Amino acid sequence: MTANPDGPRVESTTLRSRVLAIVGEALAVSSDRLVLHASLIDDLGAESIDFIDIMFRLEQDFNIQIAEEALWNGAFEKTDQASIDASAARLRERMPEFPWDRLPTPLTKRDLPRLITVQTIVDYLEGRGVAGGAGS
Amino acid sequence: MHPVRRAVITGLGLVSPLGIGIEATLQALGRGECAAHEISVFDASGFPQPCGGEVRAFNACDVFPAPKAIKLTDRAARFAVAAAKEALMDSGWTDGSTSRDDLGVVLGSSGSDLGFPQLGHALRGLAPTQIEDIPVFADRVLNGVNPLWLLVNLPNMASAHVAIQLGAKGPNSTIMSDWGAGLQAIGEAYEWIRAGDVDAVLAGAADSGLMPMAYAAFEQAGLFSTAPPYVPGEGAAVLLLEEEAAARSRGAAIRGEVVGYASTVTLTAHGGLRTDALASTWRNAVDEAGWCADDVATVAIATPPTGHPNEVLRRTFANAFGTDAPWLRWLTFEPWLGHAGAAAATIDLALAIASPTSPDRRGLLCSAVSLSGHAVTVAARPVNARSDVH
Repeated sequence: MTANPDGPRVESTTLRSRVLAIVGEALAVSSDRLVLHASLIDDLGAESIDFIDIMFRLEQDFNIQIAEEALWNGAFEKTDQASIDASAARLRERMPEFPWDRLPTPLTKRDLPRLITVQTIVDYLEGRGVAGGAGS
Repeated sequence: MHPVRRAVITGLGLVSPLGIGIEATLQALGRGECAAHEISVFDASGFPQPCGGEVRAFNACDVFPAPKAIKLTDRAARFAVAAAKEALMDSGWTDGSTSRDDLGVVLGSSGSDLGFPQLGHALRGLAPTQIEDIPVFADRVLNGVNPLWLLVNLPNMASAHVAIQLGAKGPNSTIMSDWGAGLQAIGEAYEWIRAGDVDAVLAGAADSGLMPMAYAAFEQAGLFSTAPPYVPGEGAAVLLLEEEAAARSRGAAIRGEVVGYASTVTLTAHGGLRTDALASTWRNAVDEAGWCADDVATVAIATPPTGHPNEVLRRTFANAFGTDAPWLRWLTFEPWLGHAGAAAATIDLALAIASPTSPDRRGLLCSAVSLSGHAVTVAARPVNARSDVH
């Protein structure tokens, strides 16, 4: 994925704050439940229709286009089993607070939407070049 | 021969610009309060008539257990859920007491402005010829309008949200006969019960005329130039209608009964007004109720300001029934609430049924006449004592 040459360069803390605000608005959840590692589905009650809403809000706020499959895959660019296993291992290191024990082992493609957290959305946007500089 | 099934009213629910709930509204009316003020839901200062009957102090979070559902609703849908909830509570139909698997919902709506502000924002900067260019229009709308937009703005969503929030899994429908739609929904619910299709239905209307497109339409139709000018409003009124035996078997208190229903179109083939059309709905509703003119104590009517002042209505009644009917009380709550579109007549009906000053056990005719030419009349019999019915 290439960086958006027309999109704004956003500082990481602001990026996180904006994503938190978007998710909070779309899911009507209080700020005390909005933590970076909260699963949108398992912890914040998101349904498929909410992902469509969140995707639109992200597109409008950051002036980017998001492919639908990219949204559902979260931060996972490839969804063959080996790639899922490798990406899940990296994600475990990056998000130790996430309740991994509630997910099956091994993870399958079907489980990927449950991994979508505010942090994975931030990671995705940073990967798109929306954030300036290295990740936090 | 099948026994006659009767449609009794066991619950009333209301959201009005003067109060959330039947009692709050009645108390405000009793204090002589008027809801017509400059509105705040959008900037109407550019219109010759910037006032309206706006529902204030309404918190949708009080009505929706899951706040997330609110983003899929417009004002009318939120009012509808609140009014339907009150109607169920008023009827004693509490959670778990009786199954809602067969509970029906039919609501009236006069339409929607289809989220005009959002559409307008997506199309900003385009010349009129560009808007007519389908690929350009589609690109702007598909990329600039939230995909949830349609779910929010379809007029049948109020009935859907009532069913979802209240677990009503019976028949579900929406009537869109302009300002007659609310009464028509009540009439249809009455017919469903009489036909044996269902034993209980939440029926009524929710509407809001406080939208830029609606104000533009009202101005173009000359409604802001009448004396007095038309005052748009908003709100919802929902009645719980039940088959009488089913209502009594669960111990519900009877608030009244719907006993007749008639509708017609008031326009000629050339667009002229049929002055006898409203009268025909009165005659047909009275006939169906098994009444005569003497049984009608009150006529409540929601009508556009371009016609039907009280004197005209009185002459129409005299022509219809051959009597001047000096005892008749003409009732409308619009001067205090504004005109709530499809919900106006149902608000009149609910307040007439609930009012402690309902004169006697004789009947009430409630009518609506719309700009689109529909005339709808429901004949109802209120009861003063909650445990009394004739």
